[in-house]
Amino acid sequence: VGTTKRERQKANRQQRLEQLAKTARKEKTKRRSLQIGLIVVGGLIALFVAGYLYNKSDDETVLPADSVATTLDPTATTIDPLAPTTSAAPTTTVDPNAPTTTAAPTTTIAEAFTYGSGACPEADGSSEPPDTYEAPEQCIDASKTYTAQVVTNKGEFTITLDPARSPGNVNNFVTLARYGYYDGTQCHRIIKEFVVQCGRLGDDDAAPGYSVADELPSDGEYTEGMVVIANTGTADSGGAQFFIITGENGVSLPPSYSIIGQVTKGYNTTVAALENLADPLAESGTPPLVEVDITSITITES
Amino acid sequence: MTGTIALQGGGPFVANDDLDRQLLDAAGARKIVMLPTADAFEHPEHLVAASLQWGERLDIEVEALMVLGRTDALDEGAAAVVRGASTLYLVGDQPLHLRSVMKDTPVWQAVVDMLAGGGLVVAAGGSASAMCDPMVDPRGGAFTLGLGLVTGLAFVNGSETWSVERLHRTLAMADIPVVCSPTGTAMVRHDNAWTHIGNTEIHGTL
Repeated sequence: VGTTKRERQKANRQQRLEQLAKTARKEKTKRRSLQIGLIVVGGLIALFVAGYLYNKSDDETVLPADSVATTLDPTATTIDPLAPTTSAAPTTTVDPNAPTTTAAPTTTIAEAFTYGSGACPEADGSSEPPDTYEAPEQCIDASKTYTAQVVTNKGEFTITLDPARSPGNVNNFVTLARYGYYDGTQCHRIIKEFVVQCGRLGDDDAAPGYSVADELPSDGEYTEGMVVIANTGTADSGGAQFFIITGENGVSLPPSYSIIGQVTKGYNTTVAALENLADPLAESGTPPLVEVDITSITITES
Repeated sequence: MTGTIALQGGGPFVANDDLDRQLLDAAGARKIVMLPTADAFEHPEHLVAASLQWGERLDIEVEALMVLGRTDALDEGAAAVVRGASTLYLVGDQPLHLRSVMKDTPVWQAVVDMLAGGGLVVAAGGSASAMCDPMVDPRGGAFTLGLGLVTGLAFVNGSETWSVERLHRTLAMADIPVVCSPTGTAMVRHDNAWTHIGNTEIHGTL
């Protein structure tokens, strides 16, 4: 990638960050106005509710319109001291040894993935980044080998991607990398013996603006050095952020994250150095002791 | 499982004093061992401080067992402390971390053994969710694999903080009963029967 293109990407990135900051400021002002409004409305509601409760002694549970909730009979229990604090209704006895129904994820097969319609970038990384990112169409050949050379301000490492395992998520990662999306993003969360998490643009967890379907492994498949896609804790919510599993605490994570590859070079050097930047006092590992920036991610196809 | 397990919606050592007193009295406990594992990366010392103040209020001796990572959970000495306890409190709000730390470790096996031996296990907040299989990912409400001390239900802790949208999403995905437990409420299992404390909501049939 030429210097001019890098400068353009840098300018675009700066523009995106400024736009994000501007939006955040607007949101803050909006929230403040809303809070004042809510305090006034809340006061009125409180008066109303107080009046209502004055005339009504029973507890009432508010449920979403389409759900049915039941409560259990406290009198059914044999723990007498608990009875006075319970409130109402029928009882059920549960067999604790009954078989579990779990949402156990299974490895997704390649054909099942639904791609988006966002245009594919040139394989040599020469394409200009789009103004708005969209979930990409299929841009990679899952039968080929892809590696990602990640350059940070603290050193380099190489990820060997696994398109056979997670074609959709690897496709997304490769597409974003080829557009230069990751250049200037940060490794914003580092926890020793757990994860080094990267790919966040400024403070924006919603970027790149769309989400990618899960391609989840089975339980017990994570290993040290694996690179997996971060998500928001709901189904199919991966995006650009990824993390490297750096220890036992990451290996035993539940299988809720799509695996896109493995660090095959630089794990014991660069990644180990990044891990040492973890701030033990930082809330949930964010931020690390010093800023870690991704300078570039270059994809090689063979 | 012959012991008692209590899943509290939240507010460990702060919002459940009455229930805690009743549970401890019923179990005849004068001492607890608390594990702030799930808050390993969110200043677990705050929970330790809260537990000590709680212990003074309830006249209960508190031993904080700092099992914060898998290295700690693999330690046989820590497992022995758990196995020797009659009452355990598992606290902290990151169920995924609790699951990661405990899964297939001697300390977790000790928790299972201790409950099977008639002990009292109290889990609060996200830690309560992790006791169940499946457990609920508190960030977005998806189900994932939990520790399985409780099966056949999923537990949404701190449900008063959940948006209607997130709760709908979770309920729509559920193929088992889901218990929504606001802070200050709980579900207690004793003699294979569940009791609810306060305004828990049970979606589906237990």
